[in-house]
Amino acid sequence: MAEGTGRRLEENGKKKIDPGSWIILLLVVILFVFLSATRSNFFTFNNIHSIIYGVSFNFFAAIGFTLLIIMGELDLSVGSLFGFGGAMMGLFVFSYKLPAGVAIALAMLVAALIGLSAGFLVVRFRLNSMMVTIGVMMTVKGINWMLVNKFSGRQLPVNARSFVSVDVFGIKWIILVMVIIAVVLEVLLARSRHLKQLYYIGHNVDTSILYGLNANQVKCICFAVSAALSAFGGALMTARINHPDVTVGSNLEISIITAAVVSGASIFGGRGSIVRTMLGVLFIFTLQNGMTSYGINTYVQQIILGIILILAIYLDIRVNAKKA
Amino acid sequence: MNLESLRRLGKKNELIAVVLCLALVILLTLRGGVFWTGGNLNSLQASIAPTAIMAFGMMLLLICGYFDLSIGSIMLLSGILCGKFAMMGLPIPLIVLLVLLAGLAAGCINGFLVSVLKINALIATIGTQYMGYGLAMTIWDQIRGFGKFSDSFIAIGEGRFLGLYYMTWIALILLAVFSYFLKYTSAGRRLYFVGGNREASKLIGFNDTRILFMTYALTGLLASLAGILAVARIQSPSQYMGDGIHMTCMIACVVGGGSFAGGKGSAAGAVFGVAFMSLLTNMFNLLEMKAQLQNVIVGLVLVAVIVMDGYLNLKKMREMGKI
Repeated sequence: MAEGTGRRLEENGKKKIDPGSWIILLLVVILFVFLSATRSNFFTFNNIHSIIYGVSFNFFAAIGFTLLIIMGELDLSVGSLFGFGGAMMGLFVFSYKLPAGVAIALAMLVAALIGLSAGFLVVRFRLNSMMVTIGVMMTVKGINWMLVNKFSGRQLPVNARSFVSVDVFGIKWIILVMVIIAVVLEVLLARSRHLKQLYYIGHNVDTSILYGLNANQVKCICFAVSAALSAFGGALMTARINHPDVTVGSNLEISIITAAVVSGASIFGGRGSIVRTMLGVLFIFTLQNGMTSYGINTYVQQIILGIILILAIYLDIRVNAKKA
Repeated sequence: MNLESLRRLGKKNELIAVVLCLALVILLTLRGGVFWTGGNLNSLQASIAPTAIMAFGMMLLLICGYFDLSIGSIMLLSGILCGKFAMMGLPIPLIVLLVLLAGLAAGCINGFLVSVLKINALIATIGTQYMGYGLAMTIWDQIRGFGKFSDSFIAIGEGRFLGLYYMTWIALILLAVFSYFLKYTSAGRRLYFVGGNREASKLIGFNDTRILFMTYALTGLLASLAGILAVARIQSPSQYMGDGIHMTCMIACVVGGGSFAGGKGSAAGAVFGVAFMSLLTNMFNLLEMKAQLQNVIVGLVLVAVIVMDGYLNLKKMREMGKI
């Protein structure tokens, strides 16, 4: 559905740096300061490194999600596709004895096809993307369970898991990749002709089509990218924990929506940025780390995360109501 | 029966669900053996009745053009709360009352988020689903080791009247009540107006915020009622109750003639839709299909239903010249 309609572009296209949108940076800093002050073992290199290391896997599920939320579409299947990447990698490595690189590439390809079909259904029948991706989420989750049950108790071979934990300059390579991707995409979103379209489509999809943008095609591609990158992150995560597991990517979609909306993306489309989403994911995971160090039960953490999600969405609605 | 009345019958939205149900019943009968045995019919009743009770709420919401993904969590929470209160030694009427109140409160929270704060129904109820699950599991941790309910509590789920479970009677009574409500009361007709054209219904002066709030509250109440009946039938609290039931209800309501676009649907449609889903699961079980594969198929059915519904809406909009 065209949730981005009826929204105006900023006056004369003038770019203003909106300090409000960087509130997420402030939130992360406050959280870090608070936890460092109250928890003795928080502000150590190892702890921070391990938090960011954990974030870097999940960040891959958030990239495509952010691209889609900019266009006003929500992809709730990222969590299950994240697990799917790991499960498919397991399938290719265990059953077909393929090397890890090929297995991951194939897993990404299959996931991209799933994302593409979901995107196709959304744009062809003008469906609510959330509804469709909930269906995809259920289906893919079922497939994950089947695959993981098949390989229960088996460990990935060494060459399929050691590559994840390689250090570069004293930190894990995947963290560097995350930062590079975030910065590059951020610059491209602001400058490149192709990626700027996303904002135009998100602001007003009808106008963007009148101006000659192929909104449907762009949306389909982004759904495929979102699925493929989620699968990539999930495959790396699976390699990290040594075996395919159903817990990989479970409930991830809630964390990712919360991260995206807390960091200033709007569910109505037209706003969002990759670096800020990265900070959002960092915020959510640091919060979880902090709550765990306070001995808060994971189920209580779920409740708190849900409250944060609803608050963030509510603020988003208030901000949009003022602008409109 | 002349041609005209046949044609009118063909236009009924519930027809698809009825035909699908009949087809499944015939298929299951032809496979022979287990289907018509008492045990299977009992378990079929126990699966249809609570789901149908929840589906009435979902149907009312769909008619308004909204939905609730948190009913599964509310059902789970109600079941676990029953265990918690029973462990505290409360009398049974009080347990039922408190759990129903809890369900009503959960429904009111959903209603507040969606109708007053105007948060997108999907996101708000996914959020509350997630929170409800967290809350239910927190309480679950406290009642680990709770064995079975007392016999008088189990009687709520196992008791029979004229050969049918109480829960089946409750579902049938609710069917009559909601059919009457939707067809012949002004409050019920209002739901169709709100779902059919929200702006217009606001202009005529309907208080859509209040209508929506009440509908969500009612949905929560019905979900907790279903939770009590189901947990009494399975005799002890379970952490797996209500898993995925919101999806079942949603598919059932759309198969039974509802639409995500709102303005369509009936109570009888919800029952037939639920019966279809339960018969489908029954068939899967009789074919000894794995639970995970069943999940995959239900997910695919959901996508198919969403696409069909979207396609029909698109066609209607085109015919009306709106696009």
